[in-house]
Amino acid sequence: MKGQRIAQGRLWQRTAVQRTSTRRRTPQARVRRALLYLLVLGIAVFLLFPIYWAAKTAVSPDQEIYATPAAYLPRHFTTQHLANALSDPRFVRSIVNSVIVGASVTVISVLFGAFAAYALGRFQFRGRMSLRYVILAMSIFPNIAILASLYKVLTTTHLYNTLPALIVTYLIFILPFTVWTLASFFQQLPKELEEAAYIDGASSMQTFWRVIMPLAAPGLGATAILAVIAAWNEYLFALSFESDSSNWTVPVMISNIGAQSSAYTIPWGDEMAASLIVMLPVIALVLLLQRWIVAGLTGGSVKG
Amino acid sequence: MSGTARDDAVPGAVPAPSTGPDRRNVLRLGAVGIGLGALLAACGKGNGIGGSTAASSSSSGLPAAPAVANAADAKKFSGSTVATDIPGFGTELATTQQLAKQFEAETGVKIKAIPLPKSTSDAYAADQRLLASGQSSPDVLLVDLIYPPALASYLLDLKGHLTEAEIALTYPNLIAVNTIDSRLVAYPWYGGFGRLYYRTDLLQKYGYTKPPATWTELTTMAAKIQAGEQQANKAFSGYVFQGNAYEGLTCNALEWVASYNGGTFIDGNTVSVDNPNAIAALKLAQGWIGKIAQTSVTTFTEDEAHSAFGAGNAAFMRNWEYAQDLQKGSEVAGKFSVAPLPAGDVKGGTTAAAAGGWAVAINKNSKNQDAAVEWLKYLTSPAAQAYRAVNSSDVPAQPGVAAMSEVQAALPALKEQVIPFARPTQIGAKYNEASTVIFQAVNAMLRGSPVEAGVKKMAADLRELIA
Amino acid sequence: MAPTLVVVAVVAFYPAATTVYQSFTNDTFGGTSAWVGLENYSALIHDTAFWAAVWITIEFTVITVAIETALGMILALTLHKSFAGRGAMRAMLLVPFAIINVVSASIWKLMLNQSYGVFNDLLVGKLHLASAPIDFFGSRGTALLSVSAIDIWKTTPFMALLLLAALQTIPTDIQEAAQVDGAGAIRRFFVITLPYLRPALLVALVFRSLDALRVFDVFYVLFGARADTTTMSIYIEQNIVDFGKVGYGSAISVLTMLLIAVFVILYVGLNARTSR
Repeated sequence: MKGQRIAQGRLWQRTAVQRTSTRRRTPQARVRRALLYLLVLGIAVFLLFPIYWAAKTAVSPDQEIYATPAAYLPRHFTTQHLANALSDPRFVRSIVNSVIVGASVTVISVLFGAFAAYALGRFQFRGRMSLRYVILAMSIFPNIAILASLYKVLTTTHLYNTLPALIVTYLIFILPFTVWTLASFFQQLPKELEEAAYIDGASSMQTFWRVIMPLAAPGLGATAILAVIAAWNEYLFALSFESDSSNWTVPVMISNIGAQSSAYTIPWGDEMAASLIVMLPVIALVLLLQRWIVAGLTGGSVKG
Repeated sequence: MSGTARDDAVPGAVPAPSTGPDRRNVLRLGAVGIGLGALLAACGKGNGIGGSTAASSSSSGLPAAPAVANAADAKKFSGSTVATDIPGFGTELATTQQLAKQFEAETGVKIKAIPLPKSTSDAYAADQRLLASGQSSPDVLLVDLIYPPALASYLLDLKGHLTEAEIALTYPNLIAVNTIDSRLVAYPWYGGFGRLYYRTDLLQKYGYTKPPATWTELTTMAAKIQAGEQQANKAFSGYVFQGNAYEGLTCNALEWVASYNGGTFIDGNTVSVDNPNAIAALKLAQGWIGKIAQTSVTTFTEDEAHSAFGAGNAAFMRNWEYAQDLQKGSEVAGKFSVAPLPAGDVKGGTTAAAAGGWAVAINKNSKNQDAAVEWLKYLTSPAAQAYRAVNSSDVPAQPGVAAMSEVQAALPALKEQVIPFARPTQIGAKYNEASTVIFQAVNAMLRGSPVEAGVKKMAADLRELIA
Repeated sequence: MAPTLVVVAVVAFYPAATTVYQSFTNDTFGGTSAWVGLENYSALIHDTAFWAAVWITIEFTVITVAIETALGMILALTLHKSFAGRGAMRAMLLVPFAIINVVSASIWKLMLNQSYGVFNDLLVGKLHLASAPIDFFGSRGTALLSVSAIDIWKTTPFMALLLLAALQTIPTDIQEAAQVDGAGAIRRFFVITLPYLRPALLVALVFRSLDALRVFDVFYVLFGARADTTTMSIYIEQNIVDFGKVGYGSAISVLTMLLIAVFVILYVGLNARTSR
């Protein structure tokens, strides 16, 4: 079914192409482009300066942090902190734990969220809105408030001090997010899609996997990234539900790092070194997932 | 790219990029590879349960732990496992692990080590959770000096398991703090008292021969030194201490008030802070802010004070004994010394040091009580305390150990006698709330709110609390 | 699908139910527990510390969500355009978000320090915009602004990412149509783009606000238990953990949850009323 949209699109496209190609060459556009790059540069500085500072701290001796005036470049470059972080066997283990928990939570929440969002977003049934709100209600609890009861649940079910404990409890605040976000993306898709697929003979599941999911790729990608990072960053549950250091995740590990520290000193260099090292898997994952976000870009310009 | 019928039927469909899956797959494989590699590496390094062998490589620089004096008794429980809290970080973790290894080797009792979180309040929260739910593990707990009142009902009475002689080895006031309703619920392990650190080179430069004996002297000296030093170094301040709104401020405030003979906020069962001496002490402290201490000192914990002094940006610092580690490597190595805190400039004024420290306790619900007691005895034995004093700078909780020459060599501050004052933990489980009232009020005063009114309100709030 | 939902729902709602029950008792750690009806709640109404916590949390939420939405929108629009290095910029977008919360709070604490922080060094020493080093955490006002700035830095990428993904799903023919029509960029934005962004914007606003109302880590790392910067979550923690007042703390939790629910209802209601 070729909708009127396509015909309209073709018409607009022709005129648009004519207009935009002449527009691009004016000095006005050049100035705008320059301003754009300036803005981009500003954004880059805004995003990255603290990271630079963390990196600088990771490769300088701890005393330089307190040097006045501030040292913008490391005065005495040292790899001691990186070595300290990497040589702590608990550290590598904690990265593995975080990856396991983050990956599991993301896969479960995105898949489940997609199904739920599809049902809630594309079908009409009684109690649809209330179910949506019930799911949302799961995330109004401050983590600290439900901590003690969750602890009891976990100890009773013998999940305490295991990684699945974290996977289950993280779903409490990540699942509502994925369901709602994906529901909003699915909602955006035109209804004609399903009608077209149905006419073409596709079942619900086929429509879901072949039609809806690819189109919602940007939403899926964004949701997956945010779910991973939410799980990665979580500290309170990770601290409270794991007593063995072999079950620690990254945030807990970093707060306990520092082989030479005492009770009152904060090993800044070691902490920053460890933090930067653990950012690498996350950035790798993000680069992986952000392709999905880009994928949506080329849609819309392909007309039959 | 795909140009199929599907594209026509669905405007805006995503053309499957032919290069996409390849790159994605490569990245995926890479991530899995890294993950597997890391997993293998971690397993290969032999992560023991609770990390008891995990850091053995980093503790290889330490000497072997001392022999187990009560090994004969402990061997009776060979084969059982004692789950114990251990400090979770730094040199303390390493020394405690060495002690655990030695104990295991000599007695056959396995030690399952559970590292504590670095933050005291996280550790307290963890203890609270597990005790409230009646867990039997860990058998042995580490408790800060201010926990026993709240946790007492969950802890074993050690009087039935330790001899009089063993109990008498430790400072009496530490025993008193750990005795709730005549039950000794925790045995002191290591301690600490507030000390005054001062820059010997700066004192000499500005014509002073010895550290200040009273707070007024300190204020004058700090002002003069700051005025001189700030010309070259804008970040210099005369005095740094712990002014943030947390337990450490209660310790500092206790020292000021007690040194002015103003009591200890709550003496016995009576709130005593609303007296002229206490008010004078707090006014003095308020007067420092902006004059000899920067306003940011109201956000300082031990670490910030330690760093400021260590970077050469302060003439005086109040901190615990651990800060002597600055002698081993900092801008001020070799240029400072330690003295007792100054006394208040009033009749009956005295030097006052807040008592801090940790103790070892046993979970009442433990299934291995006797084995746990043997471990406790070894952990707190004079030999073990001396070992930790030398190797992880932990101040011993026994005067006999503090007098040992190798301990005094490692921690020179111990040569000075202090007059310790305990925080008002005698009020029981409500101590945390009382401390919060105190430190929040004092923090507000440091940031400018009127002292007399503040003290009056603090006293009223405290009275309401313990009523 | 249904079994998963049931499991998670039980795990989520059982603690909530327990909390509600406990709020009607005077349960204390190490002590006894007895039913006291609404006593905790009436005490809370008069608890100035509680209302101070509510107030500062709401202020924090309003400031951060407003600025993050605006900045996030600007970022998303910028990254939507094609320019050299856009892929790298998109990856960079997530860098602040990828750093562990407590670590980012710590590094900012160092940077904003009065004596040796780099910001004071820039302002006073290099750019001479201020005559004396600023104490960024001194008063309640400056502390709130500082902590908001830190949170904005960290979480704007969250908004930007969601909005960017939403922008990517807008059919470009519609955009081009408007462009041809001669509509200015701003008008185009409000009339064409914004309606498409509305659902994603709503979700982003709701979840960002939920997180801001439940904020704990960044305030705690920076200020600890300071009276004038205690948020609702910190106040709950203080009462339940530090003071052992489980019953009272549970009542605080329940009121906090109700407050958060009110916010959500406001958003959703506002959205329903202004769309169509």
